Amino acid sequence: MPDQREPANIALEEVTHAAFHGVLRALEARKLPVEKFPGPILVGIIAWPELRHGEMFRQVEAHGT
Amino acid sequence: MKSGRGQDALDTSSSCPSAQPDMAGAVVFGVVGGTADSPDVAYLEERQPVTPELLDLAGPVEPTEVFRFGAPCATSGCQHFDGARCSLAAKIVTLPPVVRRLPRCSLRPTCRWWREQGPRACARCPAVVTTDYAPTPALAEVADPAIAVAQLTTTRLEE
Repeated sequence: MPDQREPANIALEEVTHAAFHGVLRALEARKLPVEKFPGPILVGIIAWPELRHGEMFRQVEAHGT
Repeated sequence: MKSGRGQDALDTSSSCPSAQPDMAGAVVFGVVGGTADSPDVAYLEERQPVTPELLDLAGPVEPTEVFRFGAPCATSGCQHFDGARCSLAAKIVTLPPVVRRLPRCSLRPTCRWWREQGPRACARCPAVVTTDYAPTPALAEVADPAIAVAQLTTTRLEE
């Protein structure tokens, strides 16, 4: 039986960060290492007023391609 | 409350917690974290509308690999609906629980899985990924509409 863990909650301003890691998890499930992904992975540009810092942008550069 | 639309009658009083973002009335209520081997859904404090900006966050993969969406239950329009209940929910509770206590979940008040299976469904829900390219064998069986609940129950008792 798998270990039982504490459930997790996230606030609205944490969604972009969580989604970024969610994308990496999904790529892992697809057996697609980030390093081999062609081109940069553009993970969302959002401008929700609720966010303290307004727009957030995150980019992962592919390596060795 | 049901809205009749030909053969596919939406049940707007009951939410599917593993819906597609393009379904009418869809909201996002969770983000899939963890690892490929052990997904772990984090629940938003408040459900959010589905927007193009949110869908863009999923980037190179499908939104249903990254987010959990809720939407009015499609009832007869869904392969998991047996005419009265959700067979997917019934099968999910044959799996081991993955959390010690129930997540705080904004979808629970209308969630069909909760209504039909109670806390047992919520204790398994964080392990569910709507589109999963690396499901465990057990989850793959659960998600297969051709496999009945009785088959899973019998198998799990024999293990």
